[in-house]
Amino acid sequence: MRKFFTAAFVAAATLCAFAAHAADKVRIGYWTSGVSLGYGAVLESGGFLAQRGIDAEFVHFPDVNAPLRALAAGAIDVAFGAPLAGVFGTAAQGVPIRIFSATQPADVQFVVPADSPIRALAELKGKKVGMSPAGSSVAVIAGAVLAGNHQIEPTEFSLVGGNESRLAQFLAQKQVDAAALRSITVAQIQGEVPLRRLGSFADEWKKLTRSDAVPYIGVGTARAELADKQPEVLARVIAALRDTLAWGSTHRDEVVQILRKKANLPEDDARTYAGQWDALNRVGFEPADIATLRLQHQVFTESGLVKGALRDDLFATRPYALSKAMK
Amino acid sequence: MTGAAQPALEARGLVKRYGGLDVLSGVDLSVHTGEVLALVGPSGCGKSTLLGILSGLLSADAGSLDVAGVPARCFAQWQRIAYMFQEDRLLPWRSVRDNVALGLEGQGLGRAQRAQRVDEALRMVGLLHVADAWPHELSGGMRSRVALARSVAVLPAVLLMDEPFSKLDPQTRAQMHAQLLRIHAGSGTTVVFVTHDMEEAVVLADRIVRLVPSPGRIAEVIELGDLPRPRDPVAQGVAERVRDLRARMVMGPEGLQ
Amino acid sequence: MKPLHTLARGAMASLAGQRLALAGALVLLWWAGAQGMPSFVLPGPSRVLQALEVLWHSETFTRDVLATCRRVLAGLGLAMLVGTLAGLALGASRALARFFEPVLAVFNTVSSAIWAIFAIIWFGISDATTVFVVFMTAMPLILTSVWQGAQAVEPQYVDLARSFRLSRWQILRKIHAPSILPHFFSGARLAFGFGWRVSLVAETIGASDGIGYRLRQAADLVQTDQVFAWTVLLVGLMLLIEGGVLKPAERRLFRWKSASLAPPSSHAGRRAAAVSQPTES
Repeated sequence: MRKFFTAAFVAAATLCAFAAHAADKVRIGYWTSGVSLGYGAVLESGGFLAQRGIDAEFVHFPDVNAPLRALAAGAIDVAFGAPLAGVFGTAAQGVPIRIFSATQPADVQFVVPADSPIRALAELKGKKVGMSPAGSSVAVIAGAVLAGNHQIEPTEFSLVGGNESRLAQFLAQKQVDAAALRSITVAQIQGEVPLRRLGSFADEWKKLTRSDAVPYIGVGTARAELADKQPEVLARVIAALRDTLAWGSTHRDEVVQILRKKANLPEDDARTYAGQWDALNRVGFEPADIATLRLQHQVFTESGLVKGALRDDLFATRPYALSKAMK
Repeated sequence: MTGAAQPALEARGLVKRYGGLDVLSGVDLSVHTGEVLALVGPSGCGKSTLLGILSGLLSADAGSLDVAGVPARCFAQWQRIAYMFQEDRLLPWRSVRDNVALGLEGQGLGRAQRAQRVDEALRMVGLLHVADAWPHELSGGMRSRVALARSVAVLPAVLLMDEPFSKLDPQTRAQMHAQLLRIHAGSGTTVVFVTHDMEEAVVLADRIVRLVPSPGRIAEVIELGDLPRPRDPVAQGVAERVRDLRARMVMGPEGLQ
Repeated sequence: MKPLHTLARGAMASLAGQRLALAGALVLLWWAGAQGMPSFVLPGPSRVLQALEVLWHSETFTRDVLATCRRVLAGLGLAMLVGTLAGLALGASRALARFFEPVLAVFNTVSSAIWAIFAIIWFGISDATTVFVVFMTAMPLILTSVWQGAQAVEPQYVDLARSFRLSRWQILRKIHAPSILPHFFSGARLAFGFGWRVSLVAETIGASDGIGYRLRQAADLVQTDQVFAWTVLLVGLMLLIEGGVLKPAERRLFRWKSASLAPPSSHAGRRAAAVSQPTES
């Protein structure tokens, strides 16, 4: 029932949007934890969208896949950090969504406890490695680089799944030999549990693809209707996203305060988080980015995580191109 | 003692069957206004069933019943008839006072009036001082007295009692007998009670109706009006009548088979 | 009467003392356990207390707590209404009871996590999701209790009321209702405990605010001391409601029950003995 009404409302709103131009209504959803929290909080409180003439309504989701589901159901228009693997899978099923920008690089490190005998990624063969659960972008990328760079097949190591909290605990209690953790998490727990870096997703991917590309775990996704019929509106959203990015980069202290208020983060953790701003957030849809995404799709398909061919119209490049013209 | 010509209750040809058994077959009984009537007999003779029909709680399969001369058709006619069960059946979630008030709550009396009647009834059984206690705090004898107060509070024209004192010890039972007789003397209520205790029957009743079973019917009606009151169980005349009654129960012309 | 009250007060004081000692021992154990662990695995009592203070003064605290309370109360309220009516209906009609018995079995086995998934599909991210999950968990509990209570009404009390020619409605009010009330109350108590637990589960996947949502967020951000702080807060809230509302209510409603705390040789026993003295012949 609710889907019907929201769909009807959206249809009516879209029709009206053709006539009105003044303040365009866009519903933006994000997961208020993990990677999206910092960026989302700043985006919300900074009024960047209003400045671009967008009347934004924000929806907060409690888990990582919820924004994508809401997008598919038409309950929101834009998710600026939708999980990549999920987007590929959903699109392959024919759900009308478009990627309009790469937004969240995979800022993940392979770590072991400082006193561990393991010194190189190749030694992870036969060991227990903690990471995001099987089926997540992180797990697939980890599997791909371990197999491609170090000849460790997925069956030759034991994947222990969990969220960041769980993984940190596993490391501390030596229940895993190594883990693939977000850089923020590593920074957060480094003080109490000394860790040694074995490598990063960025480095490994560069080695794997023999390029300078960095893999993404999150992409900006919008409903196909919005991207195709109102590229100009979406372009303004992208411009606002870029404004947010630039602002956050130069207003570190303000970002810290926003994080403390919105997420009850203590001062040091908020600083760590804010310190990772540039590594965690991006707004880019250059040919190189699109090439990376295509390659990731190939890797995901080969590993069986994602099924179905990549449709060319999944990448909506026009809004991004339009946004570059906006200053 | 027996007053007006019109009987308080007039039963004619009452029949009650349970399964294939005739618990009551053709019982005629006339209860005189203001008298104390005892129903006695061995187990299965139908005395409790008869009492139930007189109260309106059970319906007869055949026969008629008049209440104060009027054929009993609707249950509400039995307004002025109080029924006292074998167990005290005090509602555990109500205080003594509220338990006694139960019968009055169906009668549309004002709160002040109800309170007055309750206090009166409790005073009559000598339990006004525990009016605010809970039933579980009272002894068995006191609970029976509360049950009696409850029945009396509605100022019944007829008081029907089903072995009301059988669960009490002899001393308390004697006290209850005295109390009942006092209430009867004061209010002129007609009393019909079922009992197993012959002594009790002789001490209390003006008439004794003896029933026999299979099929349940009245064997005889014994007049005790000539025996002077108060009746001390150990007094000569009384003890003789008790012995006589017991003998009739065992060996009378229509006794047990 | 005076001696009884002072005795009871004394007993309660020693009970409070015992409970305080137990709490103290648990905190000591906790502190000791936290010594050897990193703070993000097992934070110590002082850290958790600090986190609690931060939470208390945060902007969204009142809003989150009220949101969860609101949803739990709404779900419980609905459950009590529907559960009581349905329980009475099943108690009154054997045919209905037979018909719905398997449905009830299903309700009791489906876990709250499953209800949460359905709720998300039907209601999305909204209050209704949590309220629904609380309702589906609490309602069968209350229904079963009321139903059993209705079946357990003593026929002898009903007959008693009939003998006083009370109307059918009066009998329901004066005999059935007080008989069923203790059953309802114990069901409601169970439902209360479960309702809270289940609301948190629902909020971790179906809400944008509330205690469950914050718990989830804290866990994701590796803020384990906040997770503990929220838990401590909840435990405190539950104890407060239990001790401040439920227990006194139970005492008041069921003071007619014969279970007594005082030993028989006490003043209470002597009072009972005094009461049962026959005062006249």
